[in-house]
Amino acid sequence: MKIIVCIKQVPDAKDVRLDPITNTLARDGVQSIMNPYDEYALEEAVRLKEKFGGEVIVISMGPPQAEEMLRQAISCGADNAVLISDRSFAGADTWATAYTLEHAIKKIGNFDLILCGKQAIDGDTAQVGPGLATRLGIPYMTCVQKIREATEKGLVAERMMDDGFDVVAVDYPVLLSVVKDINEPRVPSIKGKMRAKKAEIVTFNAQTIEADPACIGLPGSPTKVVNVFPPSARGERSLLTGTLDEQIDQLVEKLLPYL
Amino acid sequence: MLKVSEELCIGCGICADNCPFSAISIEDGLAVVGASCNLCGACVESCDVGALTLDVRGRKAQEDLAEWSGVSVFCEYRRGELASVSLELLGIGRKLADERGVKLSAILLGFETHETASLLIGHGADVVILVDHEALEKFRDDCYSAVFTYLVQQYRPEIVLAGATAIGRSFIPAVATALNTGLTADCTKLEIRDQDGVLLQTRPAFGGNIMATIVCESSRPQMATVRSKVMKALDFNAERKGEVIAVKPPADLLESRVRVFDSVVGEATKVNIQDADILVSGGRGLETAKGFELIRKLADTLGAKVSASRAVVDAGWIPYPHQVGQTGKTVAPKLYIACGISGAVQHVAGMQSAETIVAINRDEHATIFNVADYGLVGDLYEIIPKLIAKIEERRSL
Amino acid sequence: MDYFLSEEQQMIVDTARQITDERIIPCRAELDEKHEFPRQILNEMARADLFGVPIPEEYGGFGGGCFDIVLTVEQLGRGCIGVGTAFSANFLGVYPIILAGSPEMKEKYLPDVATGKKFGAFGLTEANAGSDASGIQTTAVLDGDYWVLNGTKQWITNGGEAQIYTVVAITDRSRGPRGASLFVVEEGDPGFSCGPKEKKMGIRASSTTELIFKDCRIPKDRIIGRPGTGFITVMKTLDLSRPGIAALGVGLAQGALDIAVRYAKQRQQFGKPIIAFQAVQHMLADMAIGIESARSLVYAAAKHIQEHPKDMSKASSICKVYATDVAMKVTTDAVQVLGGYGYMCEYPAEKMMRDAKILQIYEGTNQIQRNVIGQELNKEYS
Repeated sequence: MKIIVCIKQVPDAKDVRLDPITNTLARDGVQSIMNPYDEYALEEAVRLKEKFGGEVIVISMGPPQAEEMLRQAISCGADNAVLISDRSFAGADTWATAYTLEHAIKKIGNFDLILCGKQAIDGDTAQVGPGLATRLGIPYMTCVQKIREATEKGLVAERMMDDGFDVVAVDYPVLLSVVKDINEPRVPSIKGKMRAKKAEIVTFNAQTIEADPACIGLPGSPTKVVNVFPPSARGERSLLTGTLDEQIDQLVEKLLPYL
Repeated sequence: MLKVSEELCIGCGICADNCPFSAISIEDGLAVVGASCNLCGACVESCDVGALTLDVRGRKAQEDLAEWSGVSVFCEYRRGELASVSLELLGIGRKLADERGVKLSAILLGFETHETASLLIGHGADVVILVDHEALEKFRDDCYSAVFTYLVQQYRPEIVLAGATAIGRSFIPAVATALNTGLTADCTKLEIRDQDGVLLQTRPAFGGNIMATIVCESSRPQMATVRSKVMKALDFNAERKGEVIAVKPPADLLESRVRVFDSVVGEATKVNIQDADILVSGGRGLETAKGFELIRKLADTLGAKVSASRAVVDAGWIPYPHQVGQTGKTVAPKLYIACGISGAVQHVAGMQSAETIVAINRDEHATIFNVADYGLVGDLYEIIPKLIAKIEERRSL
Repeated sequence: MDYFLSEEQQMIVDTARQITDERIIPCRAELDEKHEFPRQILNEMARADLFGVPIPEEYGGFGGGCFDIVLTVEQLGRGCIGVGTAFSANFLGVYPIILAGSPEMKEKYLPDVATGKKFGAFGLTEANAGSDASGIQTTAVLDGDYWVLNGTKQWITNGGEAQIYTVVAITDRSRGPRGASLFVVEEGDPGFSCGPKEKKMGIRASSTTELIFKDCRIPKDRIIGRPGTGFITVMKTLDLSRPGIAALGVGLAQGALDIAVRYAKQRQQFGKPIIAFQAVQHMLADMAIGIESARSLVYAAAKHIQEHPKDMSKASSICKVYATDVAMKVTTDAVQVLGGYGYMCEYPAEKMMRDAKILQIYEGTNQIQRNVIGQELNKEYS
C-alpha cells in the first residue's frame, strides 16, 4: 500500500501571544512544529503500513526549514520525505496550495491513500484536503475519527458530523482528513531518529513539479489579504479593584440579574 | 516579492514586530526578509517610512466577471431539519444583496424538504433553487459538490455563502476548487467594499491571533463560509413573496463513489453549549483536568453549562463539543465567565457577542481582560470557591 | 549543567523525556491511586526502543552501558519512580543472562527483551533472606533432565507481570554462598505461580508479589552459568543495576524541585511570591545543590562502572546511597515548600515523598551499602 501524508509546519500555538501593550504578536521563542492534526494522519498511515506493508511518503510545502519536520516524520515511521519548496510558492492560498500539492503528487506517481490532518492550526481553513482530492479527481472524506476496516482494496471509516458520525465505505484511491480521536501518535523511536538523521530529503521546486507560474504562490491565489489588524477590544479594560473579597462582592452585585 | 528599500529603511524593527510569520529580521540596520515570508503585507502597512513594497502580479481576472450577479446561500437540510445557520446566512445575505441591488437566492439540497422552501422565503430569500432528491438524503461529498457546482454554474451568483457546519466545511472547498475560485472559511464579518462592490471577508487568521480581511477580486463567485450563531437571522415574515425553482440536475451528478451505510447520532448533540444562557468556561489556567470539577461546581451554582478553550480540549481535559472559539462553537450567552483563559483571538471570536463577560485570570495582562466587562486578577482556585459561597449567601437572603 | 552527552546519548534522553512528559506524568496519579501496572506505557517505551538500550547489538539492542541506562532511568524517575522501577527491575532480571548466560540462552531471550515482547523480573529476596542473602531457603535439585525448584520469593518487583524470572536457589547447601545458582523460570512453567499484589506505601504503579515454587520443573539448560556461580552473578548484577536506582533518585528529586520552584513562584503571600522569601529560596537552593551533586556523582560512577567491570562495588554503593538520600530529603522539602497543598493528594509532591522512601530500602538498604563501602575501604587500606 502506498500512502502519501501531507504535513505542514506551523507556529506552535502555545507560544503565540499578543503583546498587551503594542497589540502585536509577541513572537519571541515561537517554535515551529508539525501541525498537530497532521501527526494523527502520519500515525494512521504508519499503522496501515505496519499492517499491509508498503510505503509512507510524507510531503510538505514550505520553506527550507520544514526539512527538520520531515525528518521528524521519518523518525515517527515515514519511509520517504519530499519537501516542496520554492520562493515562488510564497503567499499561496488554499487554492494555490492544492494546485501545488496536486502537481507534486502527480510527480510522485500512483498511490492508494492520501492522509491529511483535518486542518492546519495556523489557518484553520480545512480546505486544502477537499481541494486536493477534487483536483486529483478522487473521492475524499473529511474529519475521519476511525478507520473501522481497511483492506487491500478500500476502507470503511467513521467521519464526524455535527450530530454524530456517518459510516462510509470507499475504494482506493481516496483522500482522508483525520481528527485527533483517530489514534494516539507514537513517541518517535531511537532507531527512527537515527534513520531520520541519515535520511535523504528529496526537494521539489516549481520546475520539478511542472507548475504553471500563474497558478502558484500569491499570483496564483484567488483570495488575497487586503488588511491585517489586531482584534478590536469590546471596550475599556475594566478590572475590578479593592481586596479580593471586595472584588467578589462587586462582581456578585453585577451578576444579580443573572442569578 | 516583498522589497525593502535600502534608502528608506531606518532599521527601526517595527515591521519585524508586526510580521505574523517572524519572517523579517534586522541585520546591519536594514530589514531583511526571510524564507518564511508569506507576502501577507502586514509589514507594508506598519512601516512609517514607506520602505517596504509588495510587488505582486495579481491573478489574471476571469473574463466574464461582470456576468455573475446575485447572492446565493447554501441551505442545509438533514434528518428532516433545516440547519439553523442557513437562516442566519439568509439574514446577512439579504443585507449584502440589498447593498448590491441584486437578488438573494437560497439553494436548498435535500430529500423530502416539504415546506422548507417557503420558510426560506419568509426569512429573506427572493428565489429558492431546490433540488429535492433521494440521492441527497444522506450527505455524500461528491454528489453534493457536483450538484451544487452545477447550480452555481447555471445561476452564476457573484457571492456564495455556506454554513461552516461539518457538511459545509467538507464539500464547499471542493465546489470552490471545481469553480476555480477562492473561498474564505469561518468569516466573522462580511461587508461590501464601496468603490467596487467586492465582498470584504473578515476572519481571525495566522493562528487566530490577528484579524485579516480577505477579498477574491479576480474570480467569481466570491465564496465564504460562516459558523453558526455569528450572523443573525431575520424574523420570519409570512407576507414575503418569492419564487421556488425546482431543478432536476443531470443524473450522473447524483452518482457517488462512496457508500454511507450508517448514520449515528452521537454524544455531541447532547452537549449544546450554543443554547445556554450562562456559560462557565475553563482554560489552561486550571492547570489540570481536575480543575473542571471546580468549573462544574460554579456552573451548577449558576444553572450554567460548562465550556472550554481550545487549549484544554486539545489537552484532552474535556471533549470537543465543549470548545468555544473559531474552531469550536460560536456562542452568544447572556453571561460568559472565562476562568483561566488567556483570550487568544480565536477564542474571543467565539464568545465576544456574549451580553456580559467576566474574566478571572492570574495574569493581569491577559488579553481576555480586553473583552471582559468585569475582570478579576488572581488565583481562580481562591476566587471561584469564594464566588460560589457569595452567590449562595446572596441567594439565601 | 551540561554533561556533554554524545548525539546518541542525547537521542536516548530526548526519547525518555518525551515518554515521561507525554505518557507518564499525565497518568501517574491515577496509576498510584489504583495500584495499576503501567502496561500501556511500557509498550510505548518498547515501541520507542528504550528496552533495547542495554541489550547487546547482536541481540537487537543498542549495546549501551551503565551510563546510557542511567540517562534513561533518570528521565523516567522524574515522572514516576513506580514506572521507573518496573522498567529497571526488568533489566535486573535480564542482566544475569547478559552477564553469565550461554549464547543459546541469550539468543532465546534477549531479542524479545529488546523489543519489549518479554519482560523480566529478579527473584532474590525471601522472608528470611533480605540484606543477608545467605539465608536463602529456595532449593533446586537436578532430577534427570530437569531442575526441580521449591520455595517462596518475597516482594518481587514485576511479579505476575513478567515472562522471564531469574531466580536464585540453593543447589548445594553445604557450600554456603558458593552453593547458590541462578535459573530462568518462565511464566507458565509447571509448579510456578505468583502471589497476590502487595499493597505498598509508594511506587504503587509497580507490581510486587511473591513467587511460589512447588515442585516447579524446568529444563536442565535453564541454569544461568555453572552451578554454584549464582551468588557472584547476583552481586555483579546488583552492582550494575544500583546506579539505575540512584538515577531514579536524581530524576525523582528533579521532578520534586520542578514542582516546588514553580509553586514558589506562583504562590503569593504577604503580597509577593513566596520564592521572594529567603527562607524558601535557601530551601530550594539546597535542593538544587543536592540534586546536581548527586547527578554528577551518578554519571561519574556509571561511567566508571562501564570502564571497570571488575571494580564496581564501591562506586555503585556510594552513588546509590547519596542519590537516594538526596531524593528523600528533596522530596520531603518539596512537600514543605508546598505547605498544606504539598500534603494534599491532589498535588504530586506527597506521592513523590512516599515513593522516595523505597529508594533507601530496595536493592540493598542504604545501611548495607555503607557496610559495603566500609568493607571496601578496609580492603583498600590493608
